[in-house]
Amino acid sequence: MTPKTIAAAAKALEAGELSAVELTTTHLDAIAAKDGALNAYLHVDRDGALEAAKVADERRVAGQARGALDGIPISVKDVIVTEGLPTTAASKLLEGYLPPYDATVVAKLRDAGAVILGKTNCDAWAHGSSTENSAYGPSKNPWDTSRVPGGSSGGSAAAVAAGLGLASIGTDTGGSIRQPAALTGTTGFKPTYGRVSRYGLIAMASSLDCPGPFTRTVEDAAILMAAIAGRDPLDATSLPDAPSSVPVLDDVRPLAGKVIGVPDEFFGEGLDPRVDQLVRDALRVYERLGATLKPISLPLTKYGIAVYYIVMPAEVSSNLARFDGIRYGRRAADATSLTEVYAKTRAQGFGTEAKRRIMMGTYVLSSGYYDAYYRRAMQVRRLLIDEVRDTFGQVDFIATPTTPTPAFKFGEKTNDPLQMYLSDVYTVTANLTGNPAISIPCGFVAEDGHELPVGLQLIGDITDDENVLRAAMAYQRETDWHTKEPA
Amino acid sequence: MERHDIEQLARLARLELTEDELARLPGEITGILRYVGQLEEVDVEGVEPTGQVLGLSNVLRTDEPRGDSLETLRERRSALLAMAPDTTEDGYLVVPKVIDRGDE
Repeated sequence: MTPKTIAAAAKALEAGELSAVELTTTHLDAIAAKDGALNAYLHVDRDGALEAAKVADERRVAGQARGALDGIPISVKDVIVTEGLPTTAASKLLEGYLPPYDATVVAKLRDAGAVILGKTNCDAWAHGSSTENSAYGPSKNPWDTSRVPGGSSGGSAAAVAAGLGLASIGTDTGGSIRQPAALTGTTGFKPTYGRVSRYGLIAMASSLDCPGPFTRTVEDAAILMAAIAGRDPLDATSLPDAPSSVPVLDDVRPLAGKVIGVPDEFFGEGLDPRVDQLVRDALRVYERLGATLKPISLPLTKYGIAVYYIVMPAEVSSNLARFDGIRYGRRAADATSLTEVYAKTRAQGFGTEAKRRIMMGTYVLSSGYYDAYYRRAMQVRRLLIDEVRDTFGQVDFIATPTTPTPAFKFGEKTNDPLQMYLSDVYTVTANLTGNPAISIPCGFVAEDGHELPVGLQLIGDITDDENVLRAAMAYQRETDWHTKEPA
Repeated sequence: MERHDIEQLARLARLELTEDELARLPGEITGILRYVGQLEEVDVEGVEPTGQVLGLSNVLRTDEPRGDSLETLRERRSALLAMAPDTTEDGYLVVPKVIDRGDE
């Protein structure tokens, strides 16, 4: 019986019950068998993974095993550069691009001995909530393949849910780790902004982007965080080092004395009543663990999506300006002037959503509109940050549903861009304010003969990542939603 | 947003849009702008705009060369140029003439 978590695999490797090569081979075989139907992976590095696994085994034999991640097979979202492995941001523009360097997060994983299985699918440029914007086809939700796995890190989520790798590293700019985690019954953590280096991310929105882990358990997320977090001189917005370890729960009521704020605004119109019920049930578990629930109000969160869809496209339009057909990526073959190299390359290489966001961003930053849109959005962002910081003066955590509904069907939200944007309504706040936030499985909704996962979101105070992980771990000690697997 | 607004934005963003896109985008962008326009409701009098959450500014390293050897620098340059989509010559990227008819 192959281990299903990093923690279990680490024990098995240490006990000599299986080798890293056997473990990696099991996952590569699973990918070969199942990924055709799921399209979670854009690129599988069979040779590289087996070589890394072999070296991990040699280290172990020599008594030089590197820790819990040594020999553990994981995947990486394709907006994160991996030296020598194709990195496309799920876009046609970067088809064939081989990065000459590793992102810091990848370098740290390799240093820890992790085996990189390959690169996972996502919405192109991380623009989206379903993987329907991928230039290489969407990924399917393993719980119901007629439904989306969420996005933008949908490939990572689908891979972990289906057992294709023990974990994955995704990115979260408006909810792109937490929302797919909720829709696929996996654990997805967005650390405090700046906790994990952005160096080597194909930048989406630089004041919002956060790399983070997808795992089956919070314990595994903490193991990954210990390896990937930390100050990086190559990232100008990197936080100073903070101790990062796997939380230990040593008492029966680990949340005794803790206050969990339950914000009205996240339980109102638009929330599926079945999701509402499951999240309320989860909050009762937290009461059993000793927490006090406190109704709170966060009135400015209703402007979260509006702020996000001004600030984020503005930053996107700036970050995507480098894709001009000159230094990397494809170049338009039919260009006859330099301007045409830019305009045709970008027109041919970018998909619809990327163009939409670039145009929005260009508009809100342009002279005459900057004050009304971008400057105002930055001011509302300031007010929202203050509102959330103040709230943590009275609560230790904020609990909400992660998404308003379970996984939706392909094509359901593609007619109206706004409809798709609104699926991030509960997640964007933590990106705008920088707070750490996790989504953990809290139950299932039955629909069309399938069980569809639902996620609970816990938000912590800025830099309080350890306590968020601890609180989430306590829930997983009391419940077993996170152990369920799709058929 | 009208078609000519979208055309102007496309020029600024160096994006050559198709007829189909030029027909669709004015309505879509207008819809998004209408939604985000609700920020008008918020009283932002005297509020300092913020672009980032950590309060950092001017994060710089000391102005010292890293001491890489010439060989390392050459290897790195080759690795970077290897990914250029079109020709390179003597370590330079080849592009169409900058001053040319057809440019604004």
